[in-house]
Amino acid sequence: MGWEKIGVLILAGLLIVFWGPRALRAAKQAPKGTAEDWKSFLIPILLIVVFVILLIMSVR
Amino acid sequence: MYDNQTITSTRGRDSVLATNKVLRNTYMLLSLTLLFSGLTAYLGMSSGIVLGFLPTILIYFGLLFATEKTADSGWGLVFVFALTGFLGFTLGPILSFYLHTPQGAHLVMTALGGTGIIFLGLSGYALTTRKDFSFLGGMLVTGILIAFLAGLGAFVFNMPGLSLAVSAMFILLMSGLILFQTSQIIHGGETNYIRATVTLYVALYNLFLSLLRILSAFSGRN
Repeated sequence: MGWEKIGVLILAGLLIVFWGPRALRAAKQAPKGTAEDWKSFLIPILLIVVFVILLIMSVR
Repeated sequence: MYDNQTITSTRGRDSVLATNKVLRNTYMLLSLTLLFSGLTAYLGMSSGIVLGFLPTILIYFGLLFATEKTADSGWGLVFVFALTGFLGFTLGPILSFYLHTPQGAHLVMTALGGTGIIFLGLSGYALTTRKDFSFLGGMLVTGILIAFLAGLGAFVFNMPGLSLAVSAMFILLMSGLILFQTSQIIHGGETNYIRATVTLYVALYNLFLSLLRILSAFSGRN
């Protein structure tokens, strides 16, 4: 394993130590969405999945 | 009663004007940074300088930190151009690699067009429905952390399958980030156009690269 990969592993460790707790706190404190809220998010995401599939088909 | 209504109405109008100002400034700065990074991407392509993975990540985090810390001052504008210019520069060798493969230009243009359509579609959706997507915040922070760590793992342990899965994850997460950030601007959750620009720029950058990676893998020219 080269020095760069060791450096990346150290960076990953630092991210877990410093960003991990903040991410967990943010997840706990974030407002909870209703079923209707999640529906309004999942519909455009589903359309994006279909769009990406169409793009993949266009380059095959 | 009338006076109260007038005050409420004036405050409401002020709030809408402030929101529109943040939105207008964000899109203006985003356009300028995209043009600037297009220029630096060209410089990156013609210079042939390729930075390693680790220096790229470290410089990126350094510039992101500096932009975040100076976002409330004039220096924020300097650092936002430094950050987007640097990210554009790192795109240069990647674009150069793809453009030198058979039909690589077609892949790059498809990924670029796809990124533009996704961004316009999601921004239009958030702006017209005016839905509050602040509930996505927690999921996005943890999701981006997990995807980023998985991406680092794919690089360290040489796992192209995991790398592709991370690209797919990033497309969905960056789409969510565009919805979240646009909704934050509309609802007054984000009042700093420099921070808003950086978030949207990073979302576009990741969306483009992830789309390019996925299109390349499925086109059989990876």
